[in-house]
Amino acid sequence: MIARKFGGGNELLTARTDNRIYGPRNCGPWLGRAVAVGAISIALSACAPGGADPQNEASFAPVDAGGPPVMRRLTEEQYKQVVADIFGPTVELGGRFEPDPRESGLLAVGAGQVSVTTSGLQQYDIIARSIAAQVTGEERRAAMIPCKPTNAQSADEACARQFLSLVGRLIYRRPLTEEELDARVQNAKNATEKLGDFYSGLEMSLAGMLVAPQFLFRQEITEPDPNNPGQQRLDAYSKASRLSFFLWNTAPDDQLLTAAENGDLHKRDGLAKQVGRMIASPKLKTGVRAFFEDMLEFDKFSELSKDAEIFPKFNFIAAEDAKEQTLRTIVNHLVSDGGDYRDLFTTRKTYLTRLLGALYRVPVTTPEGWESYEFSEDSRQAGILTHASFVALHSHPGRTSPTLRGKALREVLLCQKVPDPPGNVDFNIVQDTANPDFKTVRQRLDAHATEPMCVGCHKITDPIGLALENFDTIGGFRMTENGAQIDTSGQLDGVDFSDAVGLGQVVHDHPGLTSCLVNRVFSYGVGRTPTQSEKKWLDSYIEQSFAEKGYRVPQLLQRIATSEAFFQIANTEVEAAVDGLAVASSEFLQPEKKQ
Amino acid sequence: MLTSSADAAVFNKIVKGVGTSTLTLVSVLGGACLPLSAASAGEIRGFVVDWFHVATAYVEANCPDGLNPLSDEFYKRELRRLGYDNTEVEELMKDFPNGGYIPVTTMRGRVNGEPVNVYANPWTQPDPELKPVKGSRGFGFNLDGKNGTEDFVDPVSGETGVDNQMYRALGCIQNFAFHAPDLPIYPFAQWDLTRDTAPAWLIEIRDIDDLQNDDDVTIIIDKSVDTIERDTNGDALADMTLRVDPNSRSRTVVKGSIENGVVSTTTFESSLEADPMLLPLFEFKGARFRLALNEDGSAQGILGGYQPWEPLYWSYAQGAWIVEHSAGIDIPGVYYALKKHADADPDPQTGENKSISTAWWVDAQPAIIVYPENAKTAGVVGAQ
Repeated sequence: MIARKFGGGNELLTARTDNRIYGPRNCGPWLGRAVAVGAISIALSACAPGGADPQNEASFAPVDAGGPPVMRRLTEEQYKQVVADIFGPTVELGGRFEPDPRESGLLAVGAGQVSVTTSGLQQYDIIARSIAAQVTGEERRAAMIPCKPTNAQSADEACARQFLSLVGRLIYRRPLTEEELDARVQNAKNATEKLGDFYSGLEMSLAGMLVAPQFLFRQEITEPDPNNPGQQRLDAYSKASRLSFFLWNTAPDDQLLTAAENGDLHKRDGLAKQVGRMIASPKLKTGVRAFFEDMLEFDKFSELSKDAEIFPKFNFIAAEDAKEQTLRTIVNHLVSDGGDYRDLFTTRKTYLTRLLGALYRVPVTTPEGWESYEFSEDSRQAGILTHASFVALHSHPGRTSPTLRGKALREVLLCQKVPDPPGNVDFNIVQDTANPDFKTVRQRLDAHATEPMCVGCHKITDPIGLALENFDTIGGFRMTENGAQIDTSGQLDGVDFSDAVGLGQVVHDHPGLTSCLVNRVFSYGVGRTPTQSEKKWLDSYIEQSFAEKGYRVPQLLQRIATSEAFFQIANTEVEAAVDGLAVASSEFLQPEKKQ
Repeated sequence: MLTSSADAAVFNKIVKGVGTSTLTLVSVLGGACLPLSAASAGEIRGFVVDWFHVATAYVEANCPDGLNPLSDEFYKRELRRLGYDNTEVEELMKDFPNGGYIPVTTMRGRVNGEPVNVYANPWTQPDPELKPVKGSRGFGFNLDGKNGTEDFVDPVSGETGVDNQMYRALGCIQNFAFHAPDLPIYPFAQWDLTRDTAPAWLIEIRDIDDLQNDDDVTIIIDKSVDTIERDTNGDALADMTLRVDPNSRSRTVVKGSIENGVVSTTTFESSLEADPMLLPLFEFKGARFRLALNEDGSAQGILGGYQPWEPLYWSYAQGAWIVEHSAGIDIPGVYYALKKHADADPDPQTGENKSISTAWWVDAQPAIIVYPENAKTAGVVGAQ
């Protein structure tokens, strides 16, 4: 590992960057700041002409055999999307979902480390019964069920088998085995005989499938790899699921399952064809949206609240709109416009509702729904860091928090880990917004940070967060706090800025931004943190490829999805787990010592 | 309604954009973050009316004879007047506010001895003689330029000779016994029940060079095609974009000035359309308006003027029994009181005054006002 320093002077922000090759486009500002041993040569190599050559991928590929196969519980969004895809968007889901845990910055990784509680299973059962009742109900059965029973009051094995095998393939994300299908058909028959209604019997059997672990969990199955004797590989259906949830956040469609069935996903061309089709599909927007919703921790919106007395503009609709604003901006910029990922932090283009217009105090005339909006060049609003989704999500209910905002920027966007505060911190000065001696949060934090135990971490977070102080707790623009002018100047890892727009530009140019995304995307797809050698591969080959493609996210997804590394499976879980753990622990930032 | 050809010219210049940039067609916000002295030359401030209700200024001295009775009391009085004995009255009223009294009191008017609906025909019952305000504390303006014995002194501006006979007529109804900014209950309900669905009212202050003192500003009162949205306190959400109704009959343009942060207009005429189910068509004559611009971007003020009194009556009468029993407002009493205290616009035939001096409390929130021509202009202006 090479410890690198960004910035001069007292900055000591160490980040694991083994053999990292930064993209060639933004070497200038960072080159002079890479002062640690070895860093300059790495930076120089990054600036050299040339770059990733897909033909030479083998030379860059991870030296180990990937991580373990993962069993992941469907997230709430995935469950909803799968049901909508199979049965149509009008099927309503009752019940509540268990919260999805976050691990290594992603719900997609946390989903691999959970089971289902008793109460959670009850909820799944409620939801499954509701779905099954709707699917087999009179209103929808003609469209959903491809056959009619000879007698609606008695069992019809052929029709039940036809329906259950059809939907079972989509629900289990693979064809049902003969035993499974027989059991489901028998289940439908038994229920029909008791209830005296074919469709009720079918409903019971379908509900059973929807609470089966084969549906609720994405079980990755391995098989011996014929091309690498002694090695395991994911079976074709597991590959199909990994691809589909990665790119579309839903279960494989019929074509992808067919490609799995035919063995095409084990072939380079077959895989490339399917990935190309999926990247070109409108469903990619859903997938990109789901990834960023996960990465940006937007699940936290469900528990976001603001002090209604102080901020009467903010309600749950404003919260939903704020989240949607950012996701629309991201998806439109990255997928529809094919934009550079880094420009998300500088773009003035976005989408607003009237409610958000009120929040930002800009005109939005569309009475209902969304309209595109571009902040003026002299506006201090640019990039998603200035969206309410970021500044409101990382604030307290009644006051801003440069610390939370700075921490979020480092952890969420740069993949750095800021240490948690000690348990015995005295927050009185920071919380007292009415203290006439400390009118601005900068003054309060300066006073607070005189505490020796606090100063180190606050130097990591606060200079970044203070740049966003023109945005209050709900994202509203302000120039003053308690009558005092707000100073938004600061620096990120040695690069100065004067305000939020400047911060966006510094983030745009920060080498950690794109490498973080690359790592997050891979983790999201495979459901675990990268192993050490995978990380090297990501930080060198994939990131370079990302840079050469102009930091276009669809191309990044395609590159990863067609790589062998994306499907590689370790022979032993212990080996992979130890490797992954080593990477995770290296991401911590070290608090700066008080000078 | 435009008060003069000069005002019309001002309006046309503003609305059509003649000689102005597109930027001037969108109101700058009420300045939630800006100190009041921070206006830039020719600045515009836009507001949406949050609350609009009768400006009441209740103090005990205003009603030395006490307040008017509530409905359970005046219904019994009316039943006795109709000839019911005490036992019958108690029987009819035993389930108040529901029960058998409702059809009887609703039909307590008499024409040739036959019952008629008293709300539709208030003159068919005797004047219950509501107790009027006898004190001198009352909001409004000196509309007639005179200082008379019936006139009030405005508790905020200190203006004397204030003409507000509507308040004198109704101010001792229990429902009106509040002092602004506290809301009188029924007028509050009238506004509150309609503002989620009725087009919002807009106020725009233009040509502001100094938010504290400016001797020449233009005030536009208008109506939107949009309704307000509510904030978490139930008030109008601040800083919403509201589109001006291109066919508004509510448009008024008037010149004014700012003194110590309070905007005051010259005299104007104005027609303001509200939800006709609960509020009258306001047709102010000889009107004036003052609006204090607050540091937080909101504004508060008084709109006063002569208003035809019959539409005022109907705004209460159409609520009929519900208004009487729930708000405790004796509706025929309102009819007689307004008629008695009307002080302007005499009918050439009968000599009876058709209008009454009034004063209305206005709470406003900052808003972004967009004119039709500019409805799709984005990013041209903001608080930033």
